[in-house]
Amino acid sequence: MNSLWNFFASVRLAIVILCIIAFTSIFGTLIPQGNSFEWYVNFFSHISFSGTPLGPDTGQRFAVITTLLDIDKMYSSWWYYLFLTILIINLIVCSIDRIPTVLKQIKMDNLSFTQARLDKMKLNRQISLQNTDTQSIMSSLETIVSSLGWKTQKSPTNQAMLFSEKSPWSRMGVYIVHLSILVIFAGALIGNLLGFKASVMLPETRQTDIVYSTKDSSAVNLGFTVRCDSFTLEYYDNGMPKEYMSELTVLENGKEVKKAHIEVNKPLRYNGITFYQASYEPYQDFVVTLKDIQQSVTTKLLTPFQQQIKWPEGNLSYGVINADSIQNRLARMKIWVSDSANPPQTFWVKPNEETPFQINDKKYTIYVKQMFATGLQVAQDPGVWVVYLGCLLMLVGLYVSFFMSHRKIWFVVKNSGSATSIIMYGTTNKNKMGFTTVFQSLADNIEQQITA
Amino acid sequence: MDSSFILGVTTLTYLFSTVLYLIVFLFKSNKVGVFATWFTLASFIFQTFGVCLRWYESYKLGFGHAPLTNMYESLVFFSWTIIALYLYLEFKYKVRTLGIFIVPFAFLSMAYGSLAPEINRDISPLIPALQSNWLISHVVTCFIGYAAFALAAGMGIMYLAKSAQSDNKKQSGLLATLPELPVIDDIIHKTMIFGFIWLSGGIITGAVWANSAWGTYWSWDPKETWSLITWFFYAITLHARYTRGLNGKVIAWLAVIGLIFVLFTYYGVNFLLSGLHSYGSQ
Repeated sequence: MNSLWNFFASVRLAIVILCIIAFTSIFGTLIPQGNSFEWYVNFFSHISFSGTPLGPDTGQRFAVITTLLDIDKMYSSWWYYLFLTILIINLIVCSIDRIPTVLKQIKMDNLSFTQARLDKMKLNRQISLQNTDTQSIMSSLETIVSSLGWKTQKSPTNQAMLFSEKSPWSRMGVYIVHLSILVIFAGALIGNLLGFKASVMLPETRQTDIVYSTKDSSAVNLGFTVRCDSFTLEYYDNGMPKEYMSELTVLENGKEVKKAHIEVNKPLRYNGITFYQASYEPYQDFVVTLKDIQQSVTTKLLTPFQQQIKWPEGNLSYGVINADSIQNRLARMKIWVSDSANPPQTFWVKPNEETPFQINDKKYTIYVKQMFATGLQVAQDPGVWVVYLGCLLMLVGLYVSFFMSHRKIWFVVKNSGSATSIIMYGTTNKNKMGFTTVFQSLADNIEQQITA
Repeated sequence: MDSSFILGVTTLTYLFSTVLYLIVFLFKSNKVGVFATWFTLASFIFQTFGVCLRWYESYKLGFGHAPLTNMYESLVFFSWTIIALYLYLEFKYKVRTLGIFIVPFAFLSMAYGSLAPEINRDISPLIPALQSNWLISHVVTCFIGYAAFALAAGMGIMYLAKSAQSDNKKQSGLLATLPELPVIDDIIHKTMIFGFIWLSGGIITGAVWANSAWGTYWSWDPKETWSLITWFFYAITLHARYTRGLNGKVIAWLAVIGLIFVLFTYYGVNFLLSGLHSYGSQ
């Protein structure tokens, strides 16, 4: 038991396991993840060393190894989880093993240090004085040292000793970092167990209350309904995509409860579930909005290409009979309208623009847009704030463990016959060079003030 | 005068800085040293102006964004950060002989960005995924980390050069003016820590951004994975130093090897592996 504990408490294990995780992680970046067996056969067959591809037989063999060892989904494979588990156990055991010692160092009784122990300290400095009265030296030393930002402690037994220390708790910094990694893992675990990652392709004007899990494509019930009112694609002048956006409506029991405009980087949150604009799919169909201005009635109808649609309230039939596109972008559509009493009209309209038209003296407007399905990434992750907390904790811990150190200074007043002097001793657990500078300038300061 | 002209000139001025620091190193001329510092500082200010101008130009083109969005802009920023950190280091330690081990990185980064045919130097608008407030903080944190690791590697080379000489017991001229080995070791350690904290910050800002854009803070995308591998590498190095007392040559070598990981994360992944960061290769 003890040897098992020591095994997990060793830093050597930490270094080895970190090396293993770092090294094996490389494979998942070289071999694309999450594809089918056939895909890997093809992938390996075409890999070539010195010009000749491996060929289907070797490709097959590599593909078998890849799927057998779960390298095709290595970051969720049993062996990768095993490494992470060992790392976690190592972190916990290592910390539990060392924290008592560190607490002892933090709470150590520094005033009971013997002179022999102080004499071993490499960093020391002697300040010679004219004054020989230990008590008055001690009291002025105390004032000076505290005025320079070092809080002093007096020894109850040794009248000639003062002690001062800074940030003893900084010794815990590295354990804060270890804890932060555990917190991040805990957050990831919470997200895995209680949350889900899913996606859905939702055509305009349609609604859904289920989405499909990214893991296994199983249906996930949202508990409410979400409708895509419209999807819009904007371009820069040079043809690059500028923005993908969707207008979404959330419905509960058929009632609209929330409307939201989402873009990439601007998701919709509802009931702990977040909808991200992820992708889109264009259709051959159109969404046409017609308005009868006199009667002020409006309709929004799904209109397949080259198909006649009836709008009874507006007493109109219409259709999109032709469409031009430039570089895959819809440029204009030809509309056919008829109110049965008059001869039909045809005219061109631009996409996403309200265009007025008239049949005799009846005024209408028409708004035509290409139909899209919006690709939504849907996520519920109650662990994400735990992960963020862990990240914050990590930065705090890194700062404490690298930039703060436990610095200790002792002051001993010595009388040897006619000569009196203060001897300063200093130690720190980190950044010895930096502390030496601080120590010397502190000593300079004290020397200047106390001899003045 | 536009930003590409200014940044092109910066490439040349950093080349000249490199030459100046080489002279400082070879001939230990203090006069040249002072000139090298001021010249490098002037180049740095000039480059800062070029970066700001490029930012302004992007607004004039109608799609303003910080110049941190493609490989060229990142190379410029990489060299900018290296020089910024270097000047700070020179100011703090008052040693100009460090220059020849660091400034060439900034020159090489600029030269590659300015001259390589596969690098697109146009100011282009942002694709939707990049339109986020996290862009600046993510790129800046990452590149401060990368630049610090470049400095640590430069110092590592310096350490190895000097220690090779003292091994030979030839205490002659050239490397004698370099700082003492423990001092170099200390600088390596400090820059590495500095880089490690910023790399951690870069990974964290990237995770937060990914979560706000895609709903997943970690997806084992090659760039993410390689940044984690790099993070592990430096974590291992720091543990080796703290708990096993490694320092000197071993750490110097690790600082140099670390830069290979950094460069692969930064550059290699974009060109050799596919993933979410592929726009960085344009």
